[in-house]
Amino acid sequence: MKQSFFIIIITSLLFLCSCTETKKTWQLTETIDLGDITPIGFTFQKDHIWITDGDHNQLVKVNHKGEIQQTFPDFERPMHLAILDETLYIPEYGSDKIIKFDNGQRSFLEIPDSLDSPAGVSLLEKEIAIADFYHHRILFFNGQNWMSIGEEGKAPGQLYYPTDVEILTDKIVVADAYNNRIQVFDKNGKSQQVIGMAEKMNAATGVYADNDFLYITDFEKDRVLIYEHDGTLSQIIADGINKPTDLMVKDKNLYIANYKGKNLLKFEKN
Amino acid sequence: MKNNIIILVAIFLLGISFQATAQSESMDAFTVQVDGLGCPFCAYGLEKKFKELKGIKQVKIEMETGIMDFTYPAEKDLSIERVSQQVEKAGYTPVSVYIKRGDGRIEKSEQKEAPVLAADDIQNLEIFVAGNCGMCKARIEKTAMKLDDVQSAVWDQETKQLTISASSKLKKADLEKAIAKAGHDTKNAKAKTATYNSLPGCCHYERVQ
Repeated sequence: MKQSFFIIIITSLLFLCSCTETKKTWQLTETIDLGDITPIGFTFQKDHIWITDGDHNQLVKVNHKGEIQQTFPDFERPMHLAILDETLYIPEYGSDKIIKFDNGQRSFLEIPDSLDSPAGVSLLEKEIAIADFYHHRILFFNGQNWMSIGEEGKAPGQLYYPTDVEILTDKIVVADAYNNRIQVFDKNGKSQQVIGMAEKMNAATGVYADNDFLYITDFEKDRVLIYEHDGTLSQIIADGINKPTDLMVKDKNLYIANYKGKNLLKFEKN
Repeated sequence: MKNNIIILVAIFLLGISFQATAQSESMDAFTVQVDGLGCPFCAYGLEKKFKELKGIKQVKIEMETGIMDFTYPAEKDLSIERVSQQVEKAGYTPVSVYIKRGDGRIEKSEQKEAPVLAADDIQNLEIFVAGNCGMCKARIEKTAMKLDDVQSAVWDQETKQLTISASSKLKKADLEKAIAKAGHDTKNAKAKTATYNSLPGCCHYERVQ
């Protein structure tokens, strides 16, 4: 009887230890100061970072220390950008265009429908998704046809000022900004999940998703929330965060752009 | 031949200069200091919507300073009051307006001075006001400060409490009514749906039941 009791306790302790070990959390390891840049979106290309500086209407190329390498002016409120095959795709909130930026050359992405303040774009192979802010929708190209996903409103399936979007292989993840939530759609435009209502976010402005987690910036509450794909809250990060607008995981590090803090934060898992 | 070219160039330059003068005389230049530009998504959008106003030109907003510049046809004689209303309608909260008319006249908005109150006449009031962001804060505080008897007003974005210092003559119900009229629910006064709907997206707080 006594032996069985000990075996149960030891097994339980081993189980608890293994749980603790697997539950790694993101910890702030570096703050990359961006000087006067007010970042809205960012993405990586080789050994540098592209940042859209919304307040100053420019695209800025910085190194990993935040030192400016090149500046490209005359954008009209550039927002959450994306990169595919060395071409940057930059939504211009002020001009209602998606700019294709390749080695300093600018052209427009052809879209068969009008946009009203595009705030985010995502590309995956031939697929393109655009967060169309004032039209309260996602404009999605599935490789063959364009379709409109969502309409103005607060119910599941409806959007209220979407500001960012991310395409995964099987779903489209949307920063449903002023509904204060993440909304997940399938690629036919059907709403699958609404995530984050319990956390009472205030302006869910930037989203990133990978195979493990969904990440969202809670702009007004100065925090980032990380969810498992089933909607379970995994971690809330507040350390160093000051009006966050965008985030992404690169080389196993999580990067977060602070609009008001004018910096990029780097987090590592431990 | 050389002389002719010089004369032609001079006439051309004079023409450009005359055109530029005529252009500036036909337009009034406005500088508006606005408050509460915390959220870039709304602020950029409002800037864009403002640009769509008929006749408006050269709209430029500096997010960091909150200074908005634009020009407007002088013949329309846009007043300081109308500018303030238009700016408010676009979702911004104007702090000051400066106009340089096409004919050179300068006009400035008057800043309301806080009333000087006797120590035994001061009351501190605290009320709940629903709101979300920096733009809400600017709107709520400006609305409270517009009331005659209010000396100071501070709204806390976290607690949603508006704390004011005012003359004892000010009734709490009047304060709540004024705030609701600006689009923000309080516990005892609700904003009209149309007013609420006209607020910028980021200001769409959860309605008080």
